[in-house]
Amino acid sequence: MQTLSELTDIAIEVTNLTKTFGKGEQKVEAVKGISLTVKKGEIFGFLGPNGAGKTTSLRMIVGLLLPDEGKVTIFGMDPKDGKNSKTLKKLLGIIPQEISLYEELTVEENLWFMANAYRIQKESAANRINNLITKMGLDSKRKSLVKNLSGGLKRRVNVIMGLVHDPVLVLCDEPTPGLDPQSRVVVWEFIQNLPKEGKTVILTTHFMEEADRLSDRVAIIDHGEILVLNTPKKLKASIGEGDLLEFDLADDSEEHLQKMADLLKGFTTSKGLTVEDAYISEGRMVMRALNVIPNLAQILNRIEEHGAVVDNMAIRNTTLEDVFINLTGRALRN
Amino acid sequence: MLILDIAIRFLKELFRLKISLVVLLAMPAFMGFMFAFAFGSAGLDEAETYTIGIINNDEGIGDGLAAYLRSDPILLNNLPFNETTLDKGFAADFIDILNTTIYQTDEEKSEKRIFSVLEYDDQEIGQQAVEERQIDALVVFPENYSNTTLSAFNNAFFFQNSIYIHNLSYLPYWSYNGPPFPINENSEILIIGDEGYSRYQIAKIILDKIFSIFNEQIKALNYAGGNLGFSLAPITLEEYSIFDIIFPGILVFAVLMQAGMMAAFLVAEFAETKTIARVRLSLIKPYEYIAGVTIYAFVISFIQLSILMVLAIVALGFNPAGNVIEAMIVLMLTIVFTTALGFLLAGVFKSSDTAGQSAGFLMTPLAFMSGAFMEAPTITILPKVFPTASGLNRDFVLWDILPSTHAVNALRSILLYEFSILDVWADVLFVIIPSLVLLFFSMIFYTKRRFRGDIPN
Repeated sequence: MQTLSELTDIAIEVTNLTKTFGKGEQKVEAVKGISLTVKKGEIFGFLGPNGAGKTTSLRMIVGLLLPDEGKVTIFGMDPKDGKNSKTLKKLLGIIPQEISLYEELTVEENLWFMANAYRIQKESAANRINNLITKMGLDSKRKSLVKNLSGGLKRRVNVIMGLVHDPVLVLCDEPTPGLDPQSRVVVWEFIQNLPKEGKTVILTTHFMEEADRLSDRVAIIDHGEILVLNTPKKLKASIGEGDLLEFDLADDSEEHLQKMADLLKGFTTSKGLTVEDAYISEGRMVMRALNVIPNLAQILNRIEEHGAVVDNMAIRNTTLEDVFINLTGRALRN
Repeated sequence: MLILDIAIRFLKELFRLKISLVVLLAMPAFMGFMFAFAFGSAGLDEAETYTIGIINNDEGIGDGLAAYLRSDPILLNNLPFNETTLDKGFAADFIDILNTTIYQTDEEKSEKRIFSVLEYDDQEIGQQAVEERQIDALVVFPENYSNTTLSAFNNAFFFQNSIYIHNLSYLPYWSYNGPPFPINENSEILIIGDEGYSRYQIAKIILDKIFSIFNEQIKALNYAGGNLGFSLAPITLEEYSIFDIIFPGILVFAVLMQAGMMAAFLVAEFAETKTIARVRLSLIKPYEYIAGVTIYAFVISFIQLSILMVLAIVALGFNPAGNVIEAMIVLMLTIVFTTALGFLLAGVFKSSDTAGQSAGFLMTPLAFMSGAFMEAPTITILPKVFPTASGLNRDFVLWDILPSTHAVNALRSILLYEFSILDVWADVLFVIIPSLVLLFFSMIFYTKRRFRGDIPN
């Protein structure tokens, strides 16, 4: 097996990856020729709504799905080449979307089964298992049957199950859905620290906050295609400068909201306000502009003069959700 | 060892899942009681007359001994046979009994004979008649049958009186001066037939019982003079229920049903817990996984079959004539077939419920086709080629392609007719070889479907 230092700087290279499910009228093009490169030591995020093709792409990368077309190389090795199989299995660790654990085994027994499955020496397996259990805050639960754990604790076990063999490439498929805030923070910190151990991480998520917080680079994917790929900061900057101001209007008809949005587009003031964009999102009117706070009164005046009654208002920074909306015209959860 | 780790993991999961454990323990008990309830009170058909062929090779009582007994009326009158027996031998006596035995119940004596007897001079012709089902069974008396009978009688006398008959000399008015009575002479009456044929099965049970009574009576000293006075009166066929005959089939049915449980566990790993993805991405090789699952299936089946066997013997009145351990070996070999079916089902179905239900749906007709409960219709493929336990060549029929058919035959021969596992070598081979071939292909199929193909989200 290659040592870490011998591995290429490119962890994963994907070229024209394509996958179709079903036939005839049932045919669904889940992934449409995506290409990307993941660098060694980075956290690479796949952000997109449910059904965008994130998990399908990930499963093709690890070999759980066979691509119709395209090529994957992992640290320069072709997974289709049988002689790379053993090496790649040792290099790869997967944290699946669904909780896939042996419910009738204890936390420790689950981890030991995986350690044996990777033929890890007993002593190093014991160290690794203890280390992972501690990092995930599961010390008091190590002898508990998995079926008796809460959803959040199961999710934590699910995360470390794929890491018992100390892989250098970790693929996290939606690691935090349904998690309580405390568990989410634990898992996030755990994932964030993986690159410090020399690991490369691919993360799929439909939580923009998760992608934003954890990823060094993010590919936004929708309908099986990568729409954009860059660092979160650059992606957010790409849709324009400034803050976002969201309005809940008493008349939330689309016609009225659009009328107000049109009214604000290009609106400028002497205090340096320039409304870069205004649009409707999920029953709200949203505008983006520089210098929003000093100009709040004038903005409110402008729309109230034209018959709008503001029920609620909020100012926030640009998020990857806004990037997605900007790209697709709809919110991630839609 | 990884294979054992996999087997142990499956076993731990099963034993910790209370509902599975209950099913595991209760299923054989339920099955045993259900079949015993359904068939236990059903007696064998008393209206049937079974046609049996006889080959009488008995050379009778030696001339010297016969002449001496004729000359000693005191002794002869105290023996359970008469001059006719001295002339013709014990086999002829027994044939007369078979010819005249009629069905009897507690209430009344019927006129229906149990057996219609045909005597043959040539064993080959007799066997041919069995193979062509002109007769239901062929009974072959050995050359030393009379001597064996006398030996049994002499031994019984010694057991009671600490002296052999030919050593009696202490009576003031009588002492034995003839040639020695045989001692420790052994022989075996052959009952030849097709163990898979229901008429043979019933005829054999009745014959065995009659032989047993005859042997007991011949040993007794209190039948002074005359014929043995043999009667089937204390026995009615109600003592033998269909349950006894189908119990080997029930065992095979229980083995077949294992396929469903195994498939359900495998499919759950693929479709419900999705842990097969972890297995597949690890260094576990498909053959290691399959071997681990197979060990698991063997352990579970062994437990269930042991429960069923013990229950049947202890509580349900099943009295195995043959070696139970050899029967268990045949059953364990049959599990290879079940395992193969389990992998096939697990490779096809994507929900454990569907796999379990489908297995139940498929295994019941399979059990019927195998003749587990009743004789399956005869559809001959090759006439008179398949060796039976008693050395006949029976037709190779359509259902013989199923290892479970041979498992039923082998178990019947061992458990009901006291054959050894070596006697049923042909059936054993037809259990294990097709099962291994099927297991090989089912492993390839399962590997292709679950270790090589897509694992959907």
